[in-house]
Amino acid sequence: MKSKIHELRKANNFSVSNKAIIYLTLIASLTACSQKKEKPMNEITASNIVEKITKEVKHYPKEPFYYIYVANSLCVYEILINDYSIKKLFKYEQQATPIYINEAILKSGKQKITYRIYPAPKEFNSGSDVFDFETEFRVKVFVNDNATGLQIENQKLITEHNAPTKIRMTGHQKDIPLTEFEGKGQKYYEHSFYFDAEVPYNNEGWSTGQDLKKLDQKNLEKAIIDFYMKRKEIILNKNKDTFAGQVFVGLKEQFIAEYRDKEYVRDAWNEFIEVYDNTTYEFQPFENYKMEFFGDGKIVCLRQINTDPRYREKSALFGKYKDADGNTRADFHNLYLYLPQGKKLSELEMIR
Amino acid sequence: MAKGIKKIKWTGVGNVIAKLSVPNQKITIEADQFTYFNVDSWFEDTPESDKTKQRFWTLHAHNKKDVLLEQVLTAEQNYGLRIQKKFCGPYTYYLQANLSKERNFISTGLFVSGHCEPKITSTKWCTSNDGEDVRSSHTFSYGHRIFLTMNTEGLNGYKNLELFIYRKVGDAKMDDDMEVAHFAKVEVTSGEIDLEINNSAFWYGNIMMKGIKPVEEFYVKVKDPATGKFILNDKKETAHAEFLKIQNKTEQQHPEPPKNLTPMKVGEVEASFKKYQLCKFSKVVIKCKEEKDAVIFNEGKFIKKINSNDNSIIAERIFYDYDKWHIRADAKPILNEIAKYLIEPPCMPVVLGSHTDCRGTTEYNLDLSLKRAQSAVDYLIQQGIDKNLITAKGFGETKLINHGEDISEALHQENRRTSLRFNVFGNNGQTLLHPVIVPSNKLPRQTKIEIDDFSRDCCFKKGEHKNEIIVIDSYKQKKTYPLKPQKEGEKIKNSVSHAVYSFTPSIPELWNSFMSDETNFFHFYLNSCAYYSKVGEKHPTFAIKAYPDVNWVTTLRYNYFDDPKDIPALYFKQIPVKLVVGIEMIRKIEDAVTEIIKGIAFLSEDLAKNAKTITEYITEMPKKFGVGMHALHDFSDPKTPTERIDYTQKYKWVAEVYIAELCLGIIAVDLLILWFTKGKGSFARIRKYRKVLNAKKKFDDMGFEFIEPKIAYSQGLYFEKQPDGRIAQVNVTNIKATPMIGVKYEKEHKLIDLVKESADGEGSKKLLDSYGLKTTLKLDIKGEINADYHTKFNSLTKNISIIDNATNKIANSDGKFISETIISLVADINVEGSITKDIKIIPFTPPDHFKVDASLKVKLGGYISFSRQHSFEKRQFYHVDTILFSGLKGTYTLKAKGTINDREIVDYNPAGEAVPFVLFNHKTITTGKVVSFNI
Repeated sequence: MKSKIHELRKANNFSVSNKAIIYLTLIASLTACSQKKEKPMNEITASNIVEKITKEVKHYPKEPFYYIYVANSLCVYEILINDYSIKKLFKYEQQATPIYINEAILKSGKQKITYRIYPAPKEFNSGSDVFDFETEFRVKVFVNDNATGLQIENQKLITEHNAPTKIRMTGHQKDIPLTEFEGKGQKYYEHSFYFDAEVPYNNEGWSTGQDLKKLDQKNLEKAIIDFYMKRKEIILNKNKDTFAGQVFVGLKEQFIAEYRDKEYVRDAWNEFIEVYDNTTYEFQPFENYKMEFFGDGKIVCLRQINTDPRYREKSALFGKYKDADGNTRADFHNLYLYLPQGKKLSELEMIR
Repeated sequence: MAKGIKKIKWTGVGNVIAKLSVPNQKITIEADQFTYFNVDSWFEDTPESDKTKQRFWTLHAHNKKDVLLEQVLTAEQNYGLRIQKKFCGPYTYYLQANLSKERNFISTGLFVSGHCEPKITSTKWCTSNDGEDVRSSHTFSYGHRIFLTMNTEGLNGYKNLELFIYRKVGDAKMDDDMEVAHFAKVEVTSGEIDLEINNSAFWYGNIMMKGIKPVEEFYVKVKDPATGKFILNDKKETAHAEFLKIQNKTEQQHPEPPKNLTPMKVGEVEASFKKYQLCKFSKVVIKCKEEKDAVIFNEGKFIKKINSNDNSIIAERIFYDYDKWHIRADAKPILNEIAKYLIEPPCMPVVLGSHTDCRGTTEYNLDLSLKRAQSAVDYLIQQGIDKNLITAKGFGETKLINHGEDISEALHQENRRTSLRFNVFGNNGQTLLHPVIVPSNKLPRQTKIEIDDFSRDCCFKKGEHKNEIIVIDSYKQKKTYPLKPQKEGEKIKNSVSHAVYSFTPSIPELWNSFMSDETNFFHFYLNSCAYYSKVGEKHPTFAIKAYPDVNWVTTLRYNYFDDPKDIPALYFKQIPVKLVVGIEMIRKIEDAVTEIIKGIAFLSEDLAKNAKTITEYITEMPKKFGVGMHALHDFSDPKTPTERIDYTQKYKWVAEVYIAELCLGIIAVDLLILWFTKGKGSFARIRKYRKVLNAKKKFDDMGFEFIEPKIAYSQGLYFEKQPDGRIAQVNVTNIKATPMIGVKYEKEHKLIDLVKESADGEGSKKLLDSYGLKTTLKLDIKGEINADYHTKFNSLTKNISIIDNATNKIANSDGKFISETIISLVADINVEGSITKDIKIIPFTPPDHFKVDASLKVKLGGYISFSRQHSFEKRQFYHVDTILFSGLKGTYTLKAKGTINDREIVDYNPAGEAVPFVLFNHKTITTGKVVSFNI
């Protein structure tokens, strides 16, 4: 039997080796110590981000942890929680493991789930580019308790939703019901439903952001592009402190929502940035993109216009690198931007 | 040993036209002068004494058979042949010399034709064919039959002259004259054009428009389409037959296309009237009120095919490549034409004679000619011709047209031929068959036989050819009907009426009586010198083959009793039949089930041993079955009082086989689920569950919700008349199942259990290694497979078509039903603690049978599909069900902890170790053959 670590290595693009993880961790700690004196306390740096985030994460006697199982058949999808894109699956596959959604749940109350589905690629869809009558899409929302370690027996089904269908009578005597997907024959289908969630934390997220759709779209686009270019520069210059500052709020809110401990946060941070030390990392052309709004117009990002399922609806800014197994991976810079009240366009911030 | 005269030659005396001659084959001589011939060479074994003997010279028609002139000359005398201008033209004679009167038709002679300037020498207009010239004494009316005879020179043998009739308008110039009729394909036989003009009524209308005169005058022009020139008369004029006079009056006569009338007369030398017999009949029509009138014999239909020059009845010839027997591209249109002609009634029997050229050994050539015959037969059968109508013979090189090895390739090719002839003349007649579907003698069909132009003039067999038609049926019942012969100039239609009925299939040997050829034959004997001259019980002229009008129906219902509104439409022609409910299972079914279970590949030994248990459990099901086996008489007209014979009790075992088959379909899904849950619910438990099924449909413990099948099935075997007039045995099944298979299964399995109990749980094991013992796999399988379709198997075409009522289309013609809906499966993986890997699953690429329009419909994450293949093979009609589980495979990707950026593999390293895991392999259950009937 192979060890867990070994198994991890095989599948993992991030950890080059066990040793590398330790090495990087040490460097990060050392850097943190040496910089402490020079930088102001509230400044987020690559060396203090783990501490800063961990400090914000609270623990509760009950830590509700929400996730969904999605079953798609003859379609591919993007799923949004509270109008925030939580999952895209444009490859023709079905995800068998759960999708965690707490990061999109800002506070207790009614939560909205929206799914946007598209017909499966022609070769799996009888050669057709519209929805087959047997198209199926199902979402199951579960809650579990993180405080007791997400045990299987504590899992509770909150709601289950199936894409709406119609009954058509078939057969010689028109007496055989055939269940047909409501969107049969179309190329796109969108539907929303709601569930109630109760969470002990309260993330502000993008809730107080300005409505970006109301701004001058040309100026907005220019500001977004500037932001994207700035990110590229940061990575190219290996300016890790600035990078940390950029992603802090998003990561913080995510880990608060997921009740993560320090070790987890540290691993996540290292996993996140080590890729930029990979010598094979190379940015790809920034072209063929479109603005996409989320969060009821308060979030914006740039996405690729591409039919290749590997790039479809992915961030316009991305780099490629070789992982330890020799696979080529793409690193899509998900920059979900918002503009806090009273701020100018040039002050766009990254919220996730 | 070959003896005698090998070849004759032109002596050099007489005028020969070289450019129209082929050395050693054909010689063209100038008209009206003697050209002399003598022996050229001898066969090797000819004794010298023979060479000085007298010779029998014979001049034949083109067919080399009919002798026109005979002359005996000494060895010293040359044979002189003179061809009158009248007989000059493309027609070729055949000149031969022999040492005895016994002629053997090998190629020792020469083809001879005469040549002179084409010309029309005299003409006459007559009231009967070749009658008295009445142009000065008689004025015709429009609509009269008018006969034109023209004597010609240098045109003998033409078949495609064009003849124009002009109306004389002015006196001076012909240019003003108006063309009123045009006849193509005018033939010149024995130097004569004999044309019957039947369409003069049409001229009237044309002329009316231009101002008709009290008496109109008409003349004729004749054109050679090959040269485009008009044929002249002695005065070098193009106008002939001046004038035909027609008065301004119309007479009612049915217009018909003009006919070439010249009978088989060959000059003054001899008249060969052999086939121009008057002891004959021209047409036989069978009339039965339910059916279209069937013209079973029609002289007019083939007589036009007769080569009027040589009197042979060869319809067509096709040729082959050297040493080959495939049908050449140039032969296909000819065969297609013949096929078109043969396929429609009257279905004339045809004889194919195939030949080779003289190269190669006799044995080889015989074999080659047989292959040629066979290829022609095969081709005709492919075109839909009943093989019983075709007789084929291979003659090898025994009947050469052109003799000699050294002849041109074109002449060799003429030898490599298949000729097609009709088999109705003289003694050669082959019985013509007319199949009908009729009820038994309780409801006989009065069938009328109409005979046209029945005549006994010039009968050679006066004692045998009586004025009657005799009918003898398969019961040896004989009846004689008198016929009235028509005299010359008369037109009489003879008509007789006979009761036709089928055998009563009272002995319910269902399959045998249906499939064996014990149909009731009504043999009709109608003889004449021209056609079917041979008299005798073994030589009927035609026969009505009476098939029973019965549908043997098997009806089966499972769970369908509570739905009376459904039922009528599920019966054949909505004729309800009584069903027997609650058939007791017998040993036979147990055996059948055991057999099929053994055929299921994936079953473990344990389960196979449990076959007995399975059959036990099946025996609990029949209470829901209703079965009926019936014969519906007079099926084609359900409005008449229909006799229904109930064979259910007698054929119970058949019913039981059907039940066994259905049970298997129903349990197949259970077996499949058993397989991929790795036997988690043992069979005994399923059995238990099944037992309580009636009381409690959902069995929570097992996770099953079993959706009970509801099946209506009926099968009919009957005869059906095809559009081409043939009768086919057809087997029609109507299947309605709502559902055929229905299942709901939702249960969480511990991954560790699956790993333990499965040999191929490789993927499960991997998952277990990464996630620990508490990992579960939740399987959610649900769906219904409905069926509403019918199949039709046609024993003639061997075609099995399926019409899917759900889509109202012919699903396919390969006999495969593929359910449109499929049962889908979702597998969720549940892990204790936070997951570290995203697992995505996809089904295995489906197997071929799932292809629809060359593309796939692949459901995620997996599916169960159903298809049923109906087939006909080795005289059995059967079907095989295939239930397929797509299987599941998957990929893991490490889940990023910081989810901000998507990091995904865009190009796999093929050498990397990222092997997708297999959760379940795909599985296919194929049930054994379920035979509906044997032929």
